[in-house]
Amino acid sequence: MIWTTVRVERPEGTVLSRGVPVQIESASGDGERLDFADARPYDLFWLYTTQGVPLVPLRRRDVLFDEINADPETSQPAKYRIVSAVETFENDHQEALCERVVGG
Amino acid sequence: MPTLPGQPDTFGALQAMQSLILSECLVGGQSPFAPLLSADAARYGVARAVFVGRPKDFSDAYLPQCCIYLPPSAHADTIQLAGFAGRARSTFDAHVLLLVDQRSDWYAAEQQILTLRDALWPVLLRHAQLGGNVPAVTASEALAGRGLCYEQVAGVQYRCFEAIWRIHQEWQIAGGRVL
Repeated sequence: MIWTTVRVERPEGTVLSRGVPVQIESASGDGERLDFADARPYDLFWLYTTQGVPLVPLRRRDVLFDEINADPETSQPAKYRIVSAVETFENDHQEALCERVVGG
Repeated sequence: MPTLPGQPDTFGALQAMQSLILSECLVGGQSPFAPLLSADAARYGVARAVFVGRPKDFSDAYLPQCCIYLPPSAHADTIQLAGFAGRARSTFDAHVLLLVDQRSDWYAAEQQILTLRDALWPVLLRHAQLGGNVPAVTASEALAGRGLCYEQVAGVQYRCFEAIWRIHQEWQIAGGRVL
């Protein structure tokens, strides 16, 4: 589990917001999963906002770049894509299930 | 008779398909596929989202998108020797998959995928040898694939169309067959 900040892009390449504080933790635990006719291996993560609901709330298909930590397999900023409906807890926080593609 | 190459050139054939789709699959006189960001344009060597293979890191910014890929199927590939002198023939079925975004307006996506389909078929049918720039390619033909379909990527469903571009290659094993 890590505490960090993310840059939000919607779609990828178009920056929506920066410096969004989040907590990220693994949701996989059993090796990489496969998608897109097995062409797209990924790991699953839970992401929680830690300072309320962002000004522009997160939503499905947003791409989030870790502003502090690199993906250990690519040495590039770790990149997460929200893959399901984002749960919003009033003005407290948001929770999002994300996928991180394995490798480059 | 032209000299046959010493081996097939599958990647060259796929790149020829990519080039033909980029230059000839047009809607309103322009390529309908999304422009790539500069880093990806440099990586893939093309300016728009027409990929050889299925990108591992699927991006919503690259829609509409075209993927030309070889499916993991034993029936998609054939190979045989033609006589004893070492001439060889092979055939592969490349799948041409078009994807569009249907999230905000499914009906607009339906029209868009039909437009792309109609722009793609003439390209696949027009070329008898993929433009003639890949020496190993002796013939190409278009076949119906899955047709209109859906693909789910990263939890999101996309409207798609898929056709098959069958490629025949011929080459001469250098020095012929040996014991």
